[in-house]
Amino acid sequence: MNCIDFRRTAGAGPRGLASEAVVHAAQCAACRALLYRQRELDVRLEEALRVPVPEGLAERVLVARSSGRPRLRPTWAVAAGIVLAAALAWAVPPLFAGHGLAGEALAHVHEEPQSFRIRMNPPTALLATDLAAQGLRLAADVGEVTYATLCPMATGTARHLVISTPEGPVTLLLLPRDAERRARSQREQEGFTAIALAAPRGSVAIVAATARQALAVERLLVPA
Amino acid sequence: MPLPSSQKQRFEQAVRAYSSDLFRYLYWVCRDRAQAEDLVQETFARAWSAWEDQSDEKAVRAWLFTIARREHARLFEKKRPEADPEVDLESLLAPPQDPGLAIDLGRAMASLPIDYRDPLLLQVLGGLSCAEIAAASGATEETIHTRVSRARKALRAWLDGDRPAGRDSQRNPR
Repeated sequence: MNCIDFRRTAGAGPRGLASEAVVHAAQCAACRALLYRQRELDVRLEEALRVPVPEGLAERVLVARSSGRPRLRPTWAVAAGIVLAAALAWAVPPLFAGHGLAGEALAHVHEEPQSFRIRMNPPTALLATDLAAQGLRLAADVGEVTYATLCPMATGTARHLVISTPEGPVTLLLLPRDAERRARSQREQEGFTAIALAAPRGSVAIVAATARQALAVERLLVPA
Repeated sequence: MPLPSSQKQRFEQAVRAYSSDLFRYLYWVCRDRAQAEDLVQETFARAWSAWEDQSDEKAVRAWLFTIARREHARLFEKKRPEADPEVDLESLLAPPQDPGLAIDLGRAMASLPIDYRDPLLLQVLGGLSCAEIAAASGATEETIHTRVSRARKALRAWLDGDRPAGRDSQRNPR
C-alpha cells in the first residue's frame, strides 16, 4: 500500500483499517500523523455527539416489549402534557419557574459560546462583590473570572460570569433582582448541566459541562 | 410461540447496551429528542419481531442501527432532498466560536446535509463500516466512502480554521 491508497482508505475513518494500512502507518510518519488526526477527530466528535439520554429509556423499551407494543407518546398525550404543565406552572409557579431558569440558563450559554473564548480582565473583586450583593460568598476559591458582562434574560438583567476552574469553565448567571422564590432545579441538555437556585436576594444559575462540576460550585456557594 | 428466556435475556442485554447510542444517532439525524425516543422504541419493536432470526451476536449492533436508520427514513424520506454531490460542505459550516467546545462541533455536525451527516453518524456512533452503511442505505460503498471522507474533511478543516468564510460570517461580519 502506498501513501495515496492509505489516505484514501483512512479518509473514510480510522476504524477497521485493513492490516496492510496499519502496517503502512507504522512505516510512514506522515500517514501515521494523518491517522492520529483522524482518531482525534473521532474522539472530539464522540464527545460532541454525547447528548444526554432520557432517563429510563432502556426500561421503557423493555416495558413496551413485555406489553407487546411500543410505548409511544401519543399526540393527545403530548398535548395533554403541555396543557397540564401550563396549568401546573400557573398553580405552582416557584417549582416550574425554577426549572425554567435552569433551561433559560442553558439556552443562554448555548447562545453565547464566545463567552468561553473571550478572555477579559475584570476586577479581581468583581465575583465577591456581585455575590455579596445577593447575600452569598464562595467558601473557597474556584478560579479566575475570564468573562464578565451584563445580559438581558427573561427574569431581568443577569451578571454573566465565566470562571476558569481546574476542571474547565463554569458559568454563573447572577440575577439579584429576580423576585421569584425559586425551588432548586437541575437540568441537562446537549452536554451541559444547569443548576438554578434561590439566593438570599434574587437567584443564581450555574452551568457547567458536567453535573459534578456544577454541583461542586453549588456546594461552595454559601450565605455571606 | 413465545421466545425462550435465553432469547429474552439477549434482547434485554441488547436494549441496555445499545439504546443510548441509538438514541444519540436518531437525535442527531432528526434533532428532536421526543421523536428520537419514539424511533428508539420503534427500532426495538421491529427488532423484537425478528429477534429469533438474529443469531449473529457480533452483528446485532449494526443490525439495530440499520433498523433505526430505516425507521427514521420511513418518517422523513419524503422530506429529504437528493444529495448534491457538488455541494461545498466547508462553506455550510459556520466558523467555530470556540473549537474546544463540544457545543460548536455539534453545531457544525448539525449543519452538514443529512446525506453526509447520516453515514458519519452511523460510523462514529454505530461503529458501522462503509460497506455496512452502504448496505443499510442502498448507496454504493464508493458513494458512502466519498461522503464520509468529505464530511470528515469539512469538519477537520473547520476545526483547523482552514475554511472559506461560512454563510453566517458573511451575513454577520465581525
